[in-house]
Amino acid sequence: MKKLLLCAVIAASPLTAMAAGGHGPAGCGLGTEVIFKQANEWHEHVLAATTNGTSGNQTFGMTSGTLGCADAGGPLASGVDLFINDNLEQIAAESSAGEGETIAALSELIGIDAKDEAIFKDALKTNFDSIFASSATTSNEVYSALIDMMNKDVTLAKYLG
Amino acid sequence: MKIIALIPTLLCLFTLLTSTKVISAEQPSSQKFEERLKNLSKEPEWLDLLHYHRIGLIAPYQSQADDPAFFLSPTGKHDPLSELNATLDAFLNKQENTLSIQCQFPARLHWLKEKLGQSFFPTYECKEFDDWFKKIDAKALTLIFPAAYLNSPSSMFGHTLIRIDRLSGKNPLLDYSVNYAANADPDDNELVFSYKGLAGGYPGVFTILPYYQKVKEYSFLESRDVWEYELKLSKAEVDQFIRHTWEIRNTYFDYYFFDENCSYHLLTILDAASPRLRLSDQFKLTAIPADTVRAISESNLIGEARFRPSTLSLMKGMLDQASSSVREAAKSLVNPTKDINTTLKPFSQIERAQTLELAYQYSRYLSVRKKQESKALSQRSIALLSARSKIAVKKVYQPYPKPEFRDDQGHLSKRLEARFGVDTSAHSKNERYTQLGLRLSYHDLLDPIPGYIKGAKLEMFNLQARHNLNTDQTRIQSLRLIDITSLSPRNEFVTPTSWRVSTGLKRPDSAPNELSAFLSGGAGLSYQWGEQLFYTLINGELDIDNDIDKGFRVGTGPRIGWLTQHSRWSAKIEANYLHDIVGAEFKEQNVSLGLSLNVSKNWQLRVETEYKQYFSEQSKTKNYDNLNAVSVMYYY
Repeated sequence: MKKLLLCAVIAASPLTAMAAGGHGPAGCGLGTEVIFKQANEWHEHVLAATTNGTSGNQTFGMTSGTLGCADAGGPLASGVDLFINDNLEQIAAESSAGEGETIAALSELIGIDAKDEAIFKDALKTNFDSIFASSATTSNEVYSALIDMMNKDVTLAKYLG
Repeated sequence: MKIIALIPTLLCLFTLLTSTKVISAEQPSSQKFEERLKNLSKEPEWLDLLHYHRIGLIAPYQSQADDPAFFLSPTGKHDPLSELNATLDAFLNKQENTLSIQCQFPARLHWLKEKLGQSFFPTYECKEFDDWFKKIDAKALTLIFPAAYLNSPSSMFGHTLIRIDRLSGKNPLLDYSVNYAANADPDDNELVFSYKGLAGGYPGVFTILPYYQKVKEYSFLESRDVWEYELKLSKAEVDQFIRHTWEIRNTYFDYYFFDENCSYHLLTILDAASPRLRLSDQFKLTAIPADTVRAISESNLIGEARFRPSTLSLMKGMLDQASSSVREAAKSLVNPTKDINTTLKPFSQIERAQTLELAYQYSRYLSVRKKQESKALSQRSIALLSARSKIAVKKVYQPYPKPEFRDDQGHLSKRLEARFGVDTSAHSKNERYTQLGLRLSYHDLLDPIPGYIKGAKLEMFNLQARHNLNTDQTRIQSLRLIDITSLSPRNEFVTPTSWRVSTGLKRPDSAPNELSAFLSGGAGLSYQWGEQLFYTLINGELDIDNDIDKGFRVGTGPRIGWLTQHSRWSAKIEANYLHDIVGAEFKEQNVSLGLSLNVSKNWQLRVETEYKQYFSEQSKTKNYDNLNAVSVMYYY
């Protein structure tokens, strides 16, 4: 039936769990997402997407980037954690090629100057195995590994707050 | 969030307190000023800000906002002047509430200041709004139109949203997007869900989400290509759009799928952003997203259009570019036991990267389709990416080509049809007839293909009335309420099921004098060679009518067909066989050929011929019919 919708519909359930809990140590929005979700979860996400799945909490909460909790004050700008959490798979895929819109967005969100974007993307490619160690790597681990990577890079270290 | 929840209560209290007061402007009671206000309240911009629109045939002219908190006057929904007075009242009163109300309605305030002077109202700082406005950081607006997706013809109806492009950033994924959708109750079952959706039982709300969330939904989860249209608006119009979005952010509008839907309400907020826009008024009965895109396009608002291919399209693009040995290797590499290095050995660096990228996409496709055990596949996916990261070369595939036609550049969605035909049957003389057809939406397999997906058909409400020239009688020939076909070709990588479903009223061959209700559906496979699509389906059909023996019949049987679709013409040959399994006994078989020629974007000529045989136990007759018809289609 849902296939027949003229427009999308908000179903309140699917993402609430993420919004409500699972705050990792690295930041408020950071959950326990893994790079590749199980297929059944994927399936739910496909359904959720068809019905425009989102929680009311998220709708304007995202705008302030807080989701009801204060900024964690980590070394990266606020919102980076949420972005990683939400785009983990795409970030992994693009990192392996060292090229792509999602990692360019990540670079911009971290505050990396346009001239250093290529260095950031190359670093993701070079350090792929240490950032994305396995398919069970969580967004928390990716976040920490990203900071490690930037710390070790002469050019990128200055973007850590 | 809690503060926002309190605002309706505050507003109600405040309205009670102030509704009897007169305006405390310089000349509050002067007749001239009252006249001025009367005129202001009739200005389209004020009416747009209050969402006064008429939709439907019998609806009264009033605001479509269904949320009492959106109005400062108790009669604001019906009376724009009283709402204007109440708004002025609230903005002018130097009470604590004035601040919150000014901050609540920045677009109204902005417009009234333009009309009455910048210093007409006391000025307050609205920290919450100002912070939000800065965060949105609007430079321009982009209309987002997710295109129809393969194997889901109903997605042709689509969805639209607006992306707010930032002034300071360049990556569109980090922009925000404004989206209007029904806030459905997740506990409702699907029947309640569709009923409430059609009847306005759900509140529709505007939401603001990062654009990457929407890209994720469309590109990665739904595999849906997206069109992005730059909107040619001034900065002042963009700013007013943002202010108005703030005003309605917590306002609900009853949601109706066919008219007051996502696309319609996006038009109403665009209208509110500028006096030069009157987009929503064109939609009186239905607002199909593609048509609303056309309306925006016809108002010369669209600048550049960009195309964002979905992951499935990207995979298709890879398959088109990869050599057959790369394809073969990529397919084998999703098997977790296959050694990656050995498989890649014979290839060049570029081919290795191509193989790994294709294999990765394919592994994700299999995971979503649950074709393989997921944990091992996930491990394989990350291993493929790891191997890819060791190859220095970056871009190994050409970007996916932008389609020649956009979804909004196809034929219009309603269709009028005039047909002349001759039926020759074994038991009667040649029956000559003229036939008029009206279809409210949307596209069939022989309609002009530019802007539509190949192999997909979606029709809703198709009424055919026939005038028999021999007997001089006119009658309804058929009424198809829903008719959907999805012929989605399979290849070595993607394996979708083709399917169809149709329901309505028709005249069965065995009882042509009666309109019978029918429900029919089928599933099968399609394959494509070049421009030729071949398909085979197993069909089932239920017919119900008191004139059929036993009142009903159920039949089943195969359908095979060939379809080719080109920008100027299309052709289809199809054969059906249907045999009873329950109910009245019957047997039907037919072969048909259809050929269509596109005269222009919205005109088409069509020739159809059909030969059919049928046998019904009821009348104990075997019949042969030969049907020939020519028709003219007009899309509007």
